[in-house]
Amino acid sequence: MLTNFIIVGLVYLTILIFLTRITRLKKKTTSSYLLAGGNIGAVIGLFTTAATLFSAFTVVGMPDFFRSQGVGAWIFLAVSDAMMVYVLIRIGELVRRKARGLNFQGMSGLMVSTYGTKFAGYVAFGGALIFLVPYIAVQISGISIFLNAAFPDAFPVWVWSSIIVGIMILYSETGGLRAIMYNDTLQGVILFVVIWIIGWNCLSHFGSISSMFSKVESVKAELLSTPGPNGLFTSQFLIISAIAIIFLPFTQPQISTRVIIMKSSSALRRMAIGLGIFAILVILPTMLMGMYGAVLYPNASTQEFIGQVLLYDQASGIAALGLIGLIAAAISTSDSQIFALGTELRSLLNLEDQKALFITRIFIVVFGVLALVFSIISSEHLVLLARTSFAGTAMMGPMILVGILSSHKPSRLMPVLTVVALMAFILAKAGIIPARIWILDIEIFLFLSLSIGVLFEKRSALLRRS
Amino acid sequence: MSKKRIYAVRLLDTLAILTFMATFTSLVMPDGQIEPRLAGIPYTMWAGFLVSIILLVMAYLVSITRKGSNDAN
Repeated sequence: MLTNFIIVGLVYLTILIFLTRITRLKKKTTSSYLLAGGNIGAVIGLFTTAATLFSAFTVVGMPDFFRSQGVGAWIFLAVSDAMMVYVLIRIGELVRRKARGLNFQGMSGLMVSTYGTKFAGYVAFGGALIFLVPYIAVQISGISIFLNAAFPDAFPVWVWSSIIVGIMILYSETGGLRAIMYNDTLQGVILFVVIWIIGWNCLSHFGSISSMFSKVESVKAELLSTPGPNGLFTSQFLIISAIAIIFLPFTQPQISTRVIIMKSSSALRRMAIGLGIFAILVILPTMLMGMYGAVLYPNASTQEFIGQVLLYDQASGIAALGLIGLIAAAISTSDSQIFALGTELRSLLNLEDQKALFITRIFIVVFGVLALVFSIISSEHLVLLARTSFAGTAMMGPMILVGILSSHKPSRLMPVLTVVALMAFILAKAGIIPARIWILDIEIFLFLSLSIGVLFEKRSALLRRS
Repeated sequence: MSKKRIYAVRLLDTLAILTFMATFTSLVMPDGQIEPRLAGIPYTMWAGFLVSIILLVMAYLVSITRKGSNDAN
């Protein structure tokens, strides 16, 4: 398999280099380098957003989630994604229009303009940094551990991690956001093709959908209903996850940037609908892979199961493609996240453009190295850490939407409440304060508190105006 | 936007929110229940799939109502 992997890997790298070369920028400005000229069409927009959204979390995490927690995983991601698309069409257009009117350079900078205080920008940047770096790290480490297990004699884990981070930084530094978007498009296509070939092979093992589910029932019937065998998929868990996912296009800077730089509202709408269809089509084969694992590898660890389903149960050519698909999924999300942190930093800098861009490019490398260091020391569970990242950044959603959608300059109430909510969320995750308040999970309690804050803000704005 | 379009958007918003909320009730995820199946697919799976398709169709419909609205560049 090593030979096949090297051949497929070289083809993949050649196309990456080609795309990086054609998108290479001679003169770099904030607009061309960090925002790709702000002129993205529906097709590139769709693939880059899809590849950024569907990470290693989808290829590794979702099959494992279906295998261990059951069919409720569909509601966890697919229903939430469909609602996200609806909200993106309804609110995304307003956000895009307002943000472009305010000379968008990054969400943090936009918060400074809308709230009229740097504090709001620091909250947005701090929240993104705290919740994105561990998520990037766990993806890199997950893929590196997997590559190390597939080729134990090749490199140690840290070398795989360094190679992955090195590739990402290299093409991000060379071509900026446009290079990332073109590479994302390639990676999105690879991800889609690979996941369907493997999903289809898993279904073929059973012969039909109904025979697959009846086999799963004979192994563990609880997998076919909610809350699943471990009782994870409660209404509260799924509602919090859904809120976190619905807010993604506004709170995770790598996605909000893509929404705002779409060339027109109609391109944004077409991209959003395409994203919804892509989501359903990508999550469906992960369900097939998960059900396959539930029957054949019910007691295997995540790594053993993914090793079997992606590599050892496939023909060697498909397995090599599977590995590349996995790397593509991780890289396409992580590069955008690292780059987005750079964009956020740039939006907070009040310097001459070339100087600010120079500092930003240095910090893109710094964020990459930071993620690399974290990846070497991290050992978190992928899906649950991704969900923590989504929920953590979602805490900033009310502040961001109030800032962008208000017709007046809002008070500092929302930024202050957001800092308190973020701190409470982190303390609850660390086990320092209780994770439940009365019958409510802490996340729901915090979202309710932030919603009350929004109502107060709206009321005080009305009073100020009258 | 014309009055007709405004009503259509409000109707779609209400339907989308109701459909979304219904997902987290026993209408879509009854505790530990696999039946009734559809072509061998357990209830929560096919009902969840149906909800995601319905939400996507509503997203498409609401995007049609926005057609022709001011396309800021």
